[in-house]
Amino acid sequence: MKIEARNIIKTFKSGLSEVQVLKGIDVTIQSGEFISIVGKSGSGKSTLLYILSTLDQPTSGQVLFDGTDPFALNEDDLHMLRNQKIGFVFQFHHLLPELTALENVLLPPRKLNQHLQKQDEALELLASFGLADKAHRLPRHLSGGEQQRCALARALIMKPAILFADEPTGNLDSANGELVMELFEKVNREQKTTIVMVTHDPDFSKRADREVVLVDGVLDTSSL
Amino acid sequence: MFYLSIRQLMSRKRQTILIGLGITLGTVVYITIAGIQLGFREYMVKNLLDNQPHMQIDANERDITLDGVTQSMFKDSEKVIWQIPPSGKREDNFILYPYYWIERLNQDPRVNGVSRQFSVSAIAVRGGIQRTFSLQGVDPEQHVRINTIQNDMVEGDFLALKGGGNRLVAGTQFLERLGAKVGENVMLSIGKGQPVPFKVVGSFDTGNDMDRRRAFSNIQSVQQLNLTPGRIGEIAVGLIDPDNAVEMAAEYSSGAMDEVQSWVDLNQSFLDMFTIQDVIRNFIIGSILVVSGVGIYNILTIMISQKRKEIAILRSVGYNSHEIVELFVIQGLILGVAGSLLGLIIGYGICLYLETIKLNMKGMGTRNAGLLISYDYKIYLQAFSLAFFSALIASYLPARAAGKLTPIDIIRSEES
Repeated sequence: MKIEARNIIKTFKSGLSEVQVLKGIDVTIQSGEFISIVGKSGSGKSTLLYILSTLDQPTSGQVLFDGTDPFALNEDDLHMLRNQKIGFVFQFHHLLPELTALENVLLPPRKLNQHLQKQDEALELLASFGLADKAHRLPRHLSGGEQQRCALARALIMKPAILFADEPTGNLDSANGELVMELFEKVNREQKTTIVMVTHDPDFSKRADREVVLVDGVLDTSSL
Repeated sequence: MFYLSIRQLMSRKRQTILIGLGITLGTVVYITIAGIQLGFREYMVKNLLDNQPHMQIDANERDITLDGVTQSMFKDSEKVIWQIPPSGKREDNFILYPYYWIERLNQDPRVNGVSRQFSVSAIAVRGGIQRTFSLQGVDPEQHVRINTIQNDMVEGDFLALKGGGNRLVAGTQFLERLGAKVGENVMLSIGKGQPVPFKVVGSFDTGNDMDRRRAFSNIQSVQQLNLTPGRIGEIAVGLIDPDNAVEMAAEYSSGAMDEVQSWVDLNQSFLDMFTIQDVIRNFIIGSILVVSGVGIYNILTIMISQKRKEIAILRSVGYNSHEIVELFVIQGLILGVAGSLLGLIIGYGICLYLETIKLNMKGMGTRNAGLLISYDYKIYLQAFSLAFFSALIASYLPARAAGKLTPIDIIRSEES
C-alpha cells in the first residue's frame, strides 16, 4: 500500500500558546518500501508516525492510502482499516497482561470472530519468532525481547499492508533488538509489507530502504 | 468482548469478589427485608379479609332534626315553639331498607355472599361470673360464605346456629373467661328485658385477641334479645375478588342513604402503615444499592485508569469505542448478574431460616407462627432488576469515559 503525506502540519496547544511540531511535511512511501524516520527527541518523528498510521489527525494537510483519505472514513471503516490493513508495534510492547502470548496475537482476528481460524497461523507465527514454547504464557512470564516479538506477531497476524513501528528496539538489549530488526527485514522481504519505523538507533535506521530525517518538524530534504 | 471481559475479571479476583459481594449483600438485604415486611403484610391482609366482610353496608348516623321531632310529636296542625330545640344523634342506628340492598347484591355476579348482621353489646352470666362482650347476630349460612370462621371452629359447627333457637358460638377465650363449655347454657342480657338462656353450640379460635370478647348467634335471636325484631344493623358482603371492593363500594355508595365501605376503607389507617413500611424499605434498599453501585463505579473507574495502555492497544488494533464500552459494561453486568443471583439464593435461604423462628405473637393473630415471610416472585424479580440496573449504570458511566479515550491521547499521556 502506497502512503502519501501532503503538507502535514501538526500543532499542539501549550497553555495559551501553540507549538507547531510538524511544519508542512510532504513524503511518499511506496508500497513494499521499508523506511525509517529518524531525528532528535522532539523533532516530531513519533507525531508523524501516528499521523501516517491514522492514530492521530493532522491539524492540516492530507494522508492518502493508495489515494484514499483514511480520515474521511467513518469510525467503523477506520477501525476496520486499522484492524485489517495496518499493524502497530510500540516501544513498550503493550500486551494485554491477562491474556497469554497466543491470545494477545489473536486479538485483531478476535474482533472479527476469526480467532479460531487464525489460531494455527498465530502459533506458526510465534514459532517463527522463536516463541513456540511460550505461546501459552502470560506476558509477565516473557522477557522484554519475547514480549516485543509477540507484539510484532500480533501486528502481523492479519497480514497488514503496512506496519508502523515506534522505537520497536528502544527498550531492548542489542541482541533482542537485532532479532526484532531481522524479523522486520524478513517480513518486508517475504511479505512485501510496507514498513514505517521510527528509531533512534542509527545502525538500525540504515538497514531500512530509505531514511527520512526530521529536524525540528521539517524534513531534511537531503535525506530524501 | 465477553471473553476479554471474563479474562479481565478473572485476572483481578479480589476486586471481582469484593464488588460481587457488595451486590450480593444488597440483594440479600432486599430479599430479607422485603420478605419479612411483605410476608407480614400478606398475613395481615389475609387475616383482615378472612375475618372481615370485603364490603360492609352500615346505616348512616342520623341527626335528630327539629322538624322531624316536631312532626312526630305534634303533627302539622300544631304550632310549637321549643325553649330548647331537640338536637343530637339518633340512638337507633339501623338500615331502613335492608331488603333493597340484599336483593341488589344477590343479583350482582361479583358477590359471593350477603349476610345480614345485627350486633349488640351484651352481658353473659354464668354462675357468679359476668362478662361483657360483643354479640353478633348473623345469617349463619351466608356468614360462612364470606368468612373463614368455619375453619377456626374448635368445637361444634358454626351452622348449628341455623334456625335460631337461642344458640351461641363463642370464642374459646371468651368461654374460658366465663367458665363455660360447649353444650352448657349461659344467660345473656343487654340491659333491657329479662336475661335469656343461650346454649353454647360451638367455640372458635381465630388467633385474634378479639376472640376474648366475641360471640355469634342467629340474627333473629339477637333481634329478639334486643326487643327489636327485624332490625338490621349492617350488611356484610363477601366478594369473589376482594380487589374489586373499593370500586364496588364507590358504585354502591352512589346516591345511597346508607354508608357503603370497602375493607380498604374500614382499615385505612392500618393499610397506611404499609405505605410507611414501603417508604422505609425503599429508603434502606435504595441506600444499599447506591452504596454497592458507587462501589462498582469506583472500582471500575480505578481499573479503567489502570487499563489505559490496554485500551490504547485495543483501539490501535481496530476495536472501536463501542467495543471498549462493551468490554467494561459486560464486566459490570457479569458482576451484577452473578452477585444478584447469589444474593437471591442466600436471601431465600435466610428467609427459610427466619421462618423457623417462633415468635408466639398471640395478640397479632399469628398464633404458633414463626416470622411471616413472603416468597412472592416479584420480590426476587425486583431484587434482581435493581441489582442488575445499578450494576449496569455504575459500570456504564466509567465505561463510556473509557470509550472516549483515543489511543493517541493514552500514548501521549503515558509518554508524558
